[in-house]
Amino acid sequence: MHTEVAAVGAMRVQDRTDPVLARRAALGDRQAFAEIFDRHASALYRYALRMLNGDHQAAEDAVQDALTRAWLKMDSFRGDSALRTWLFRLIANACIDARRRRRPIAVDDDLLEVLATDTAPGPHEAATAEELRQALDVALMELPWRQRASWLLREIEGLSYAEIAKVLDTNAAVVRGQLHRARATLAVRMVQWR
Amino acid sequence: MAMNSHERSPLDRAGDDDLLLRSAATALHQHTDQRWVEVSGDILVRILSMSRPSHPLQAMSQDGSYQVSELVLVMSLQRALDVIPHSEVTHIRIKAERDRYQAVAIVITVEYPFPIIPIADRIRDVSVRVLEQILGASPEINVSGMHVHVGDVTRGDPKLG
Repeated sequence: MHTEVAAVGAMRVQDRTDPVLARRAALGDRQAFAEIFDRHASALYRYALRMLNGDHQAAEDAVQDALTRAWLKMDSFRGDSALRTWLFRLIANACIDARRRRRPIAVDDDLLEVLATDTAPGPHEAATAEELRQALDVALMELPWRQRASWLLREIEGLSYAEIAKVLDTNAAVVRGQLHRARATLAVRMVQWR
Repeated sequence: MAMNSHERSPLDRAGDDDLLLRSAATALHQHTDQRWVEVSGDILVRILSMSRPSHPLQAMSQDGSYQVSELVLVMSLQRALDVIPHSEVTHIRIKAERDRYQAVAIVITVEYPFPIIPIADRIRDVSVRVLEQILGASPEINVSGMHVHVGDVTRGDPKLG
């Protein structure tokens, strides 16, 4: 018996797959939920921050809303889709709710400064990763909501078209169209930045 | 019109543009927001402090009767059953009449080729012990009220998935 306990105790929570963690969290296992949080919450925050135009407080609230719902309703996760897809659906809905109730937000002047480099010379090889990211953040803010969501979920989070369709409650053909337009717009904006 | 060596073809420029966007996407993917690093721990604590709605169940001790959350019972069963090797509890459902415990259904995944019956017997024994510890001894707590269902069979350790 002691050997068994030791063997199971030695099993690290990090070694468990998402479906196992979800089942355990549904049974009230806080450690399992904490591991789910460690694996996915930063990506949810990254998504929320960009969908809410860089408003950190709104993004934090959206992540907390989405993951509180996940914790309280984990037994409603049936495993029909990947846990990550389910969590992104929760954060996408939390972002929509946040947009509905938010006040207009002034655009951060620091972000706009990146646009001022439009005419500045310099090959993109010389640009630092941080400058590139900031320029992309500015360009993303100019995208319509669904295009931005589709692009982030595909290019940053690596979801498939079918998974994005589930998250955004649409179909894969619509996602494909949104992505095409988003990529074209972003490419133009990044060239202008360069 | 011929291009001189310093001019880039439209195809080359398109490739550069694509590379630029890809580089920016990679930078975004690799970026961790400092604000998130600062607040994420507090957010997790706040989430885990939320209580799930749960039915109260009547329990008895030498000092009298008191109530126990069904969720506490489920969590205690899950923890106790977790030490049984070659199996993983996937669902636990408590059956009660008003606030009186009646029976429990436990769904498990079992690792092939380990025999199911000894595992199920152990689950029943452990469950009786846990229920008696928490609810106190009662006629309803017995192995005939422990329903163990095998929901799945895996080739590897079901605790890892």
